Amino acid sequence: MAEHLLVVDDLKMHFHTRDGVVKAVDGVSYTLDSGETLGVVGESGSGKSVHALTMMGLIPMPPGKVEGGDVLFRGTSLIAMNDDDLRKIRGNEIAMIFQDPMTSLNPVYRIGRQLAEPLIIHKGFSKHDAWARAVELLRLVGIPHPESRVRDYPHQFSGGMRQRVMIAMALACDPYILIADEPTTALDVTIQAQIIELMQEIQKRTNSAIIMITHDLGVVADIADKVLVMYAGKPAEVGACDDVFYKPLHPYTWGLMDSIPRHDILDAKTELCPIKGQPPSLIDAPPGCSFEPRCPYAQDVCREKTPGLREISEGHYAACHFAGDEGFERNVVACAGVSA
Amino acid sequence: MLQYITKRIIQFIPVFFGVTLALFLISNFMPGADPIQMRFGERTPPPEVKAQLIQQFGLDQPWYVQYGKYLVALSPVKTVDGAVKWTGPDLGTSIYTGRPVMTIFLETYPYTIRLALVAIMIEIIVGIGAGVISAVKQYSFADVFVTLSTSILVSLPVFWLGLMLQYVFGIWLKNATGGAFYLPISGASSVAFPDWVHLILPGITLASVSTAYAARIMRSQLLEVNNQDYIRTAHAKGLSDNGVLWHHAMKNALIPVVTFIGLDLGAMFAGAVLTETVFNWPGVGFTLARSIFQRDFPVVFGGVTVMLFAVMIINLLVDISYAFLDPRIRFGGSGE
Amino acid sequence: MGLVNRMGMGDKRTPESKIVEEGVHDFGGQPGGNTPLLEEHVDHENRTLWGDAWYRLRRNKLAVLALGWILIVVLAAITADLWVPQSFGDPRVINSQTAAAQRLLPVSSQHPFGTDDFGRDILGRVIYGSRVSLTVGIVAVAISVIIGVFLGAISGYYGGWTDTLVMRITDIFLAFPYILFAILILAVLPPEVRGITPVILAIGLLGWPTFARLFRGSVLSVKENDYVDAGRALGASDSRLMFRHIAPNAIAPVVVYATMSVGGAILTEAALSFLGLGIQPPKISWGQMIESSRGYLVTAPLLVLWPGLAILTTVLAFTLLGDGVRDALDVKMKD
Repeated sequence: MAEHLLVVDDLKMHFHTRDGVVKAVDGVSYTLDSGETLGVVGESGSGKSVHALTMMGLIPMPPGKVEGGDVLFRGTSLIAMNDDDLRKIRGNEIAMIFQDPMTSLNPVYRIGRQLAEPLIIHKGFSKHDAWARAVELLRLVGIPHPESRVRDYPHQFSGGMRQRVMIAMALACDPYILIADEPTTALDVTIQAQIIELMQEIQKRTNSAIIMITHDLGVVADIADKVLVMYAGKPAEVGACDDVFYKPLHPYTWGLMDSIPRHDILDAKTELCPIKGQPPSLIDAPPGCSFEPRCPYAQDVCREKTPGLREISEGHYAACHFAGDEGFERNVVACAGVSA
Repeated sequence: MLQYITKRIIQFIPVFFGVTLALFLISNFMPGADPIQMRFGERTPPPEVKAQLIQQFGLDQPWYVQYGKYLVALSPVKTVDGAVKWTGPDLGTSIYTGRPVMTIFLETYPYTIRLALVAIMIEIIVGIGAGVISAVKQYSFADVFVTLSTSILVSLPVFWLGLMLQYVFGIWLKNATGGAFYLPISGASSVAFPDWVHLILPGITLASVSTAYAARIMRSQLLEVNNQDYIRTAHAKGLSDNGVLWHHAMKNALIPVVTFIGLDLGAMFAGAVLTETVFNWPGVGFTLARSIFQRDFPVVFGGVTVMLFAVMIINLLVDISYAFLDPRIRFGGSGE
Repeated sequence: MGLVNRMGMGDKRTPESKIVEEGVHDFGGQPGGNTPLLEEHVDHENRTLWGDAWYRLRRNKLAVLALGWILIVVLAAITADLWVPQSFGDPRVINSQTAAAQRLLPVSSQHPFGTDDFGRDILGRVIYGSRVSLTVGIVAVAISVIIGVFLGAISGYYGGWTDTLVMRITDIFLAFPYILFAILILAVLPPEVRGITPVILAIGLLGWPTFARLFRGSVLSVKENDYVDAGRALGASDSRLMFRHIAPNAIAPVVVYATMSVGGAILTEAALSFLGLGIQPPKISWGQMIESSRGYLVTAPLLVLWPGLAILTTVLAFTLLGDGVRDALDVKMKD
């Protein structure tokens, strides 16, 4: 078996708070190769962002603590690595783009200085060379007049332009992996499409891997090769993009699909059907499937036993007791019953 | 920028008239001792001398005439013998001592400025230092210590702190070391000590409350900035913790601290009445407080006028430095 | 760009921005969704804003301690007549027969804080002095709050020239050191008129601009909320909107700042009395006690120490209580 670029193996990140232990990430596993895009979807608080921040060593510890599992990047464990070595990887070999471009750039420094910074730290560029490279990077991400804009401050850019700057900053050192944490959520719909297009274009050019964290299934469908669906800190379903979208196995995935407007099914009868209820508290979770209280298909066994991730078909995993069972299918009546 | 400065100066005009007019009204309509009498203490001045002084200081005229004369005198450009000349502002003459008010303040201001600069230095070094340590090591012993001691400092009566310092360093220490070692507790100079030693206790006293505030603002700003997204971005870029702190966090967190310290400097230039009174420090605050008791109105108005201008200039400088520190203000409107 | 007066200059009781606690919130939560990581108040979500704040305040040990100390001081001040003269001799009068013999006694069981230069019990005097401090602190702040909230409300609600006028007046007040203003006002009064009433008026009348600004800011931000528009659309009158919809939501920062300001007013009263402009003997105030015992700093420093400690602990209690109320109400004090 060829070595994967990134192997996440049963990763667990727990927060020790006064109110108890919060199992923010509780056993996430997947692999990622160069040129691949992994879409990570889930509701707020499902642990999708925390798992990425854990890999990057950006979770303050305490209160955070890695309770188990490992992350192997090019064969080396990021979890066991000391801070200094990890810092050499951050922004260099693994780079990250954040959700809100309005607040993710330092307001008191020029764009050029912020773009130059990773080059100076990681690649030993001189200040002059780094600024020159910053202009190129801005051009690469499609910012007009990069020669003059490089001297501007963040507040002089629009939201979409700032996200382009963030992408340019992440690309500065030609990273192996680009982690994008909800990169389009804070942007207008038209700008969203442009940013996604830009990321795809850049991936083609650099063959880097992308981890796209989002709650927008549309974005995932557009860009991802693989999909990881997370619920309450645990993986609910993992598989190739087509499998997860066309043959979803987990009731939570079904719920997600039903709760978004679909333009591919132009059936007037298909109504939107939100998942009822709220995600559970992650503190002192009772045994059993964490989706059970909201699951229309729940049985007694779901309350008693926590389902593990099982391979249902090749490369397609789900954490549900009934996934893949004969006759266990998405049920439109169940949805109607909820909305009634 | 120039436009902005002009705007600030225009805004100063109603403040100036508001304060000076209010003072004129208060001093004219409030009952109180006769300022001429104050000059003679317990003695009764001969009536013709008194009448002459009243006329000399224009105290027999209605308040608006007095106010008009004050404004005319203040103007640095006057018509002398039909020609317009630069004469410099005139603040009048002290009733109590008969000396020009301008001279009195030119003598006392250096003392106030010296004390203010010492206090500001303490504020910058100790205040910012304690705030940074406290924020970086949040919840540590040092943090708890800084938080508690700043709470106590802002609750202290400044004059009482001054008295306590006088007792400990000037009296108790002198007794304990048999007179070998102690600090001066009064005045700005003496035979026994070099002048700078006289600054220590008043400097600490004047700095105390502001230092505590500077530390608290520094701490809370740094903690708030540390939660900002761009700090996470800086970490994600691979900067070291120190790099993030000194390059990304400090520059943002310092903006409100610099504003506070600047405004505080303005307030100190207006004279530290309590500190200067406790330590008999011959600065403007002390002079002004004494003149108020002597009902020496020309000195009071002159002092207030000088202070108003001093405060305005400092505030303007603070604003300019603020714009220098924060590009969002320097370049106006934002993309949001 | 109101940069200059963002902090009241002479009045050093600058509100600080709320300390943002570091924690998992910032990593687990996504904007737009509620954070299920730390559902702290699930069990009492039906409480009102104030009920919830009271619940949180009670869990803050320092604030409870501060509140306890304030209650003790208030109780001692109210009940002083019933037990102080009986226990330590009446500290308000000079007993000419015993004055010489009782003069400057050290700390003892009979006089826990010792006696002063006229043979009066210092603990008793400190207790009587608390009456002035508390009265000045509370009444002066009440005056500031009433004026400030009223002017801030009309300023924020109506905007336009009303707003400009009120804000320019606050500029005038805030452009100049507070304590100097108070000194000027009190100094022109003849000594026989000086006393608690002028002090209260001076502090109260000078303290309102910060409240006006604070409340104006709250009103402006609350006014933007949809429910105010909804009320207007339903035909609610100006006063109804103001008192029923806007004020209750805009008052929290005022409550926080008022609590802290009581300590500030006590300090100002002490300073004015120390300068001889405030409470005049034989009336007792802590600042005036310090002033009159300044001359004994070399021989009897305890005379200066006790009233100062009384000021310190009481003001500290109001400061800590203010911090607690701020955290409990979750107010960000920035402007």
